[in-house]
Amino acid sequence: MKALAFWLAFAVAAFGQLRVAKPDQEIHAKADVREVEVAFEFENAGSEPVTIARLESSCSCVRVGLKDEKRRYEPGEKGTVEAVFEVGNFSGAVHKMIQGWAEGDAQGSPSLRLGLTIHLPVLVAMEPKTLRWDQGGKPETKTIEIRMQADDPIRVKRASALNENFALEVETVEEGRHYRLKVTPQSTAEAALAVFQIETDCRVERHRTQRAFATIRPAKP
Amino acid sequence: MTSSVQVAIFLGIAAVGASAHWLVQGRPVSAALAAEETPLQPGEVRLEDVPDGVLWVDARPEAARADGELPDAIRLDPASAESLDRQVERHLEALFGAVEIVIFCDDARCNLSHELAKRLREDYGGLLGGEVRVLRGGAAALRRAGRLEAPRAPVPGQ
Repeated sequence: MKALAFWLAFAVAAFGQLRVAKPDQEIHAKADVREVEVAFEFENAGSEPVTIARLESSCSCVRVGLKDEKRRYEPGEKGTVEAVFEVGNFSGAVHKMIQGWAEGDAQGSPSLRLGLTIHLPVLVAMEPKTLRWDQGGKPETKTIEIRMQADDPIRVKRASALNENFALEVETVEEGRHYRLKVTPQSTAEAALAVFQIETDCRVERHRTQRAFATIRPAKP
Repeated sequence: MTSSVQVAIFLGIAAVGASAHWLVQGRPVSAALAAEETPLQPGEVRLEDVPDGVLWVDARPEAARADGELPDAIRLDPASAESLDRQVERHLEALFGAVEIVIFCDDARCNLSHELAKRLREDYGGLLGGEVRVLRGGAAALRRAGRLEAPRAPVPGQ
């Protein structure tokens, strides 16, 4: 009977052995980073060695691996899952998941379930990003609020539109902090699309040039 | 009872349990396929329910497209270094004129398509001609249906 109990205990101990110090991590990234590196430390809290067979992330934008490519962990031994998130054109709060399977884990029962939330600063916030007029409607002026969300001031240098049907005016509400882009169509008789380019003096290149959009389309029934 | 008999009993119970599970649940499937069988999330659509004439949006990174491409799909890559604004601008006419937009990434476990759908609805909603939905099963579902073709040569500016 003792041997039976031993084997049952062995079967139980083979699962849930990896203990992660912080399985969910939240990172506030700087505005000019291209990659964010995160480390998840874990420990083999069981009585048997564990070999990590596979790691997967929910996005191709997150590269995952084991520190020193070490896969086998003896009881009590510690390890680190290293994740690198490529910022790309993401902005705001981004949530990603990482899973890790030990040898013997069923597909639906990974030993490691890790969560990653990255906060990417939006230095130039435009609201709304797209303006819309009904075709045949009143060609009234509509406004995009541009608010700077950086510690240093960011100034709007110019705004331009390739579509001559739209007149643009930049109003300074607070220098370096708050602007208004006022857009007035000359006519709403025809359906139209427009792209507005807003140039700023933001020191971070990927935030420097902003775009807004406008449409004139038939009114929805 | 000897220990070897006890071990045999234990293994026998485990084998019976595993066989019963196999008979009831069927052959074990991949994690991606298993994910496809869960109920649809809001904004998702299965391939068999996608009508003709939708605008397909491929949200996969460049490397993933080597597996095959959907003809006439436009590419919007949320993980690209190029701003989404510039990518949207490149496909303005298509997005404006679309009756319905369906986004796909690798498979049911990939959430890039959901993130892109959220950004399109929130930031470009006034620009889009139709509803934005996410294909359940992604490129994997399209591949099984024989819809993906060999990658085409890159077009300058795309």
